[in-house]
Amino acid sequence: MREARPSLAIVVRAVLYALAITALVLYAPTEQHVFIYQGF
Amino acid sequence: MHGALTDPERAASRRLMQRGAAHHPITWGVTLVFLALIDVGVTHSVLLWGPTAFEDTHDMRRVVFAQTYQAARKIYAPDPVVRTPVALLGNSRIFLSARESFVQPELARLPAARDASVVNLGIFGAGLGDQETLVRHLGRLHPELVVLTMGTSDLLGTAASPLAGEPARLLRVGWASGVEPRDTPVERVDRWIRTLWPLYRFREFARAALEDRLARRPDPGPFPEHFASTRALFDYIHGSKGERVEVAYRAWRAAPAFAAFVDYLKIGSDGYLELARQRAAGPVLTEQSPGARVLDAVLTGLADGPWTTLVFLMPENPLIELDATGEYHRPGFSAEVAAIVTRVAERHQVRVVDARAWMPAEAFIDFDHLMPDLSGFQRPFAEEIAAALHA
Repeated sequence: MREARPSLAIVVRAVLYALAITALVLYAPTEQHVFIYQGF
Repeated sequence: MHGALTDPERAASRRLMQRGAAHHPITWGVTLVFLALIDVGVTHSVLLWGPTAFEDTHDMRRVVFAQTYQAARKIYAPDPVVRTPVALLGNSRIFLSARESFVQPELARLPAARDASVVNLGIFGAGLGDQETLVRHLGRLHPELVVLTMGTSDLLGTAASPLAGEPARLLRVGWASGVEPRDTPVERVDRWIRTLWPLYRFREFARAALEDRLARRPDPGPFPEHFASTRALFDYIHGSKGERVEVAYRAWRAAPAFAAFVDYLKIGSDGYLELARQRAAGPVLTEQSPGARVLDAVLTGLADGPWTTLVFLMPENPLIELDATGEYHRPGFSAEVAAIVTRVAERHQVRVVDARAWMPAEAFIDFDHLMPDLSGFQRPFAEEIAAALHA
């Protein structure tokens, strides 16, 4: 019997998930500290 | 027909549809593969580490972020010409006075340091807690020598000059907590994920780089490789106020009284004078003070590394001794702190170079910062690096 290959649906979903997670990592709110350097 | 599904394939496909591809373990396995590819594609490429406009900002609200990004780039995507790295840790004092373009030609003249490449990791306002975080990354750079540069006021933590700030927040990695300040459980988990996942570690930088490349903002240009005159320096630092600052500076040089120097600073550097006042009003320091404990942690991290470590007490403007009212300094403070630094360094068998009295008043922009290039500090500093490499 042939081994089942990941279908196109799986690959497309995986790409979308990976992009969504990447977007979430990059654009999720992070701590905002506005530190104004006063050295000059 | 070619491409038609066989009965078993059709049955498998139907089962998959029923379970939903979203819940199929293979979907998440393949997702991880794509995430790894995206991670490498971003964190090992010019997308993250190529030249950006934001890193050259003159906006003091963004300058610490920009310089932290540059320090990270020097560690994770080093210049191919770097051969024997000499890492310089510190804040604006070293950022300005030991630029690679100033120190490198001096090192080239010294046989013991001919192969050395200075990697200036200085960041404006970086405190000792920030250095402790940077040390966690130094293994990637494989430095031969690490020079921890500091001013005596670095042992103080003030609102304008905290022991740890934005660099420590942006670069936090490692399994163990830093010394100061203690992190919350959420920050701890965040640090662990940053340690494991490079894209997550550099997410703030990746976002800024991506936006920079999409928006194509005008680039004010990198920090100059050399300064021909004080006027050129003041124009770079103070912009449109450069001419007035130069006139006041010349007035002080013509009649070098302390009050004239303060008048010169008031024109372009009022914020700096406030910082100096805060330091002068700071607490009395001992070896148990938070700053001394953080220094101990930095040196613990450095002493664990496969490199030679040097603590370098940066030059201080001798003019400060003329501050008779003690508005901008506390008499005796510098010597007390130097003694504390020396004792803490001795515990780690780290040599201290005390350069506080190396330079004359005219070599300084203010009470702390040497004139980039024009001060000539790079010459004796390069000799000290050569001596440490040769030892």
